[in-house]
Amino acid sequence: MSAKFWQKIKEITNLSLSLAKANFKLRTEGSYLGILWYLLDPLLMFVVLFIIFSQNLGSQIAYFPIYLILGLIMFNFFSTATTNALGAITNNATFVKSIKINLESLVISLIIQTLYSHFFEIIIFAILLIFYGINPFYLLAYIPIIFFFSLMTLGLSFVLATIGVYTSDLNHIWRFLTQILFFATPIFYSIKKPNIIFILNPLVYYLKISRDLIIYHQRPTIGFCLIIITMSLIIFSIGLFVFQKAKNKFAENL
Amino acid sequence: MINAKSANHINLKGVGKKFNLSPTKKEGILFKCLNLFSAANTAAKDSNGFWALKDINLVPQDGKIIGIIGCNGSGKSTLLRIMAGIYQLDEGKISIGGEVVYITSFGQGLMPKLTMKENIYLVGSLLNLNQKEIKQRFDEIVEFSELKDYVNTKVYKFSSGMISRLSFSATIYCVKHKNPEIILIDEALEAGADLNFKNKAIKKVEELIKGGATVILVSHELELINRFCDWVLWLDKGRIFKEGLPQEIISEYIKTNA
Repeated sequence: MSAKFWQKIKEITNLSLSLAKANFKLRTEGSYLGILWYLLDPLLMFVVLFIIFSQNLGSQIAYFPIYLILGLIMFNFFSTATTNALGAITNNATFVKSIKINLESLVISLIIQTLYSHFFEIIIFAILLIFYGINPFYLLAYIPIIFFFSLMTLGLSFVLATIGVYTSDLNHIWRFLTQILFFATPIFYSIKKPNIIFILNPLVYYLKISRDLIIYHQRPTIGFCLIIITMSLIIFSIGLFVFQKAKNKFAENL
Repeated sequence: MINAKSANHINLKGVGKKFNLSPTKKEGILFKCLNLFSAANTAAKDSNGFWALKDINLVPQDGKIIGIIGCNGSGKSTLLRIMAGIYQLDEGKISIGGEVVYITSFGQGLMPKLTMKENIYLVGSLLNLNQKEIKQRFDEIVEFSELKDYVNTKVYKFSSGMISRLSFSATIYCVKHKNPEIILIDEALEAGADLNFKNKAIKKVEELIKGGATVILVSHELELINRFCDWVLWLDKGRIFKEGLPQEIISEYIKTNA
């Protein structure tokens, strides 16, 4: 199994990277500011939210601007990746129907692409960290976090891409759901006592561990880390399983 | 043409493919839910099913070239897609042994907002080549397509002939190295390029075919079928209507469609 398995992994990685590259070029194509938009998008959103919220809500949270932007860019990563995933298969119908490719790549490439723009957002974040006098060294802790966060997002993306083949209703539903999720996640506010909504919302965990580590330099408990790792692996496995089950039928349903 | 050996590269037994033509497919969840309660639903299910292929038996001898002809909608492309592993069959048995290469024209799949160069890299990746391998073939591809002056032009500015040149050149050079045992060609030779290029393309395909692979060639160009093929299948409404030597089948086909 192993030689063939690794060959497949290699193929999937190669194709994912190429697709991500092509999509990246497409996004900056025909725009005057080009790559700058990767920085401007999160920055503009941040400015708006900061102006609105810093007066009332923000005053109780230490380092509120930093707190806000980290929540924002992490949510941004999640919502961009999952929203794009909805069309991962349908937008590439011609290829799916005319070439036998590893369809996983179509979804994975979107995660890579989103990670890439996320990297620019992290740069902005790092600059702000320094500006507010926080040691940016703790940002290193973000590497394993984003790994598991991506894994979870990828799992969900697999499911969304699969459903996206069969119905376009999900486009509308998902747009609505991410909007709800935005308010149900402590992005511009903080939670004292987690109620059922926060316990069930996976994003809360990733946001909390990132903020605790990077901004407040608090070490999370091992139990909390295990929750995140297990949750990521479970969601990823379920997503991959659904996708594997369904992918052979994609071509004829497009 | 049926070979006694069972270990042939291509082995199709009673293959059938059903498509669901139900109009409700894209009409949303609500419609589907309503439909669940409708008594007509179960009956409708069967009548909506449409057998694109039925009872296809095909066991070509290795190294032979099989032509497939038939009207639009007779199931030619569906059959090739099943062999390529893109579609799943609903009936029968299929076994494909060896590396398969499926050549079709996917000009529409190119990214119009990317340059020719970027598109070549994209196609190469889709055909499972890594960056280095594509780089090695890049000059040949450009050379063959005769589009050297447009390497950095965005593809949306291309004419349809140029697009089919690009699509064909990129595909053929990216699959050439694979030494496939099975080559499936789906109307790749007739997509809008001029006579000069077409002849070049045919020659290129000939080179590929002569490598000893088992070839399934779908084409509306009867002359091509006649020239290359050892055996011809005439598909009609998803079934093998007739099969035989190229000349016999083709002359009959021409008579029927005259």
